[in-house]
Amino acid sequence: MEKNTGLLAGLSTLGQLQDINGLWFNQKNFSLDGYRFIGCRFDSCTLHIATTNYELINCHIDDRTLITYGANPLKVLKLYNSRNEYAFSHLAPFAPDRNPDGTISIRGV
Amino acid sequence: MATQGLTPANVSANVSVTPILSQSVLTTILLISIIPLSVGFYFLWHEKDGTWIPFIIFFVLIAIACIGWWRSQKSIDMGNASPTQITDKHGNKLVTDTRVLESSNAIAQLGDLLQSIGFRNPLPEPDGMVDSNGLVIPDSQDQARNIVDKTNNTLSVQTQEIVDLANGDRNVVIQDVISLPEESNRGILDHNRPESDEPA
Repeated sequence: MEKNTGLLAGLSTLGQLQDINGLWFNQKNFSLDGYRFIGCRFDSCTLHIATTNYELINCHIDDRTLITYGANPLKVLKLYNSRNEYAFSHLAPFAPDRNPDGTISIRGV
Repeated sequence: MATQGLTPANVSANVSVTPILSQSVLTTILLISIIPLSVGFYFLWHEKDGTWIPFIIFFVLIAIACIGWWRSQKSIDMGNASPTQITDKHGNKLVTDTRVLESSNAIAQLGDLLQSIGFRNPLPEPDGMVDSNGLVIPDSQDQARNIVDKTNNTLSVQTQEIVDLANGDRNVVIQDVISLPEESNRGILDHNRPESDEPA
C-alpha cells in the first residue's frame, strides 16, 4: 500500500505542469506541452503544441516565431474558424473541410 | 536513466498497483461472530439475564461483514479481468487495473496524466533571462541554463523514482516520457511580418 501511495504521488507530481520563470529562448525548436511558462520570451523560435496541456503567462512571442499545431489543437482551431470565410480562403490548414453540399467536416486524428 | 538537455531517453516501467484483498478479513469477522451467537444461545438455554447483548454483538459483526462484502464484491468479481491498456499515437502506453476504470473521474485523471507526461519533452538550452518587461538581462545565460538543467533533471529524477518503484504484474508503462516527439504537426502558423527589433 505504501508503495502504491508513493507511486500515485509520483505520477501526480509528474503529471503537473512544470513552472518555467523568466527565460529567454532565441532560435530554439521545442514543445510547450507540459510546462507553464511565466514571463518568458520567445524570439525566432519554433514552438510545437500537441495538446492543450500548457500555459503561457505574461510571455512575449515575436513575429518570427513559428507555432506548429498538432492534430488535436488543430481541430479546435478548425471549429473556431468554421464560420470564418477569410479562414477558408486564406488559412486553409486552419479551416474545416468544406463539402459540396455546404456542410463542413472536422475529422479525427 | 540519465537525461540531460535534449538527449532523448526512453523510460519504461512496470509498476505494481496490486489491490490488497480484504476477503480474509470478512471471513474472519464471520467466524468470530459465531462466538457471540453461541454465547447468546447458551444464555437463552440457561435463561440468564442480558441475553440480548451477545445477539446484538452478533448482528453488528454480521452487518460489518455484509457491508464490507458489498463494497468489495465488484473488485473481487473482476479479479481475473485483463488489465486495460491505453496507447496513444506516439506509442505511450498506460496499462491499468480495470477496476480503477469504474470511476469516470479516474479515467479522466489517467487521460490527463498520459497527456501530461507523454508529450512533455526536455527544454532546450535557454539564451538568457528576461526581466518583467520582457527585456533580456545581460550576462544571464548561465543562470538560465541552471534553471533549465534543474528542471530537466527534476523531471528525470521524478521519472526515475517511478521506475524504481516498478515491479509486479499490473503495469503502468511509461514510455518515451522524456523524448522528442514524432513530427505530427498538421498546421503551421507563420507570422511573416517585418522583423522586429531584438530585445535589449
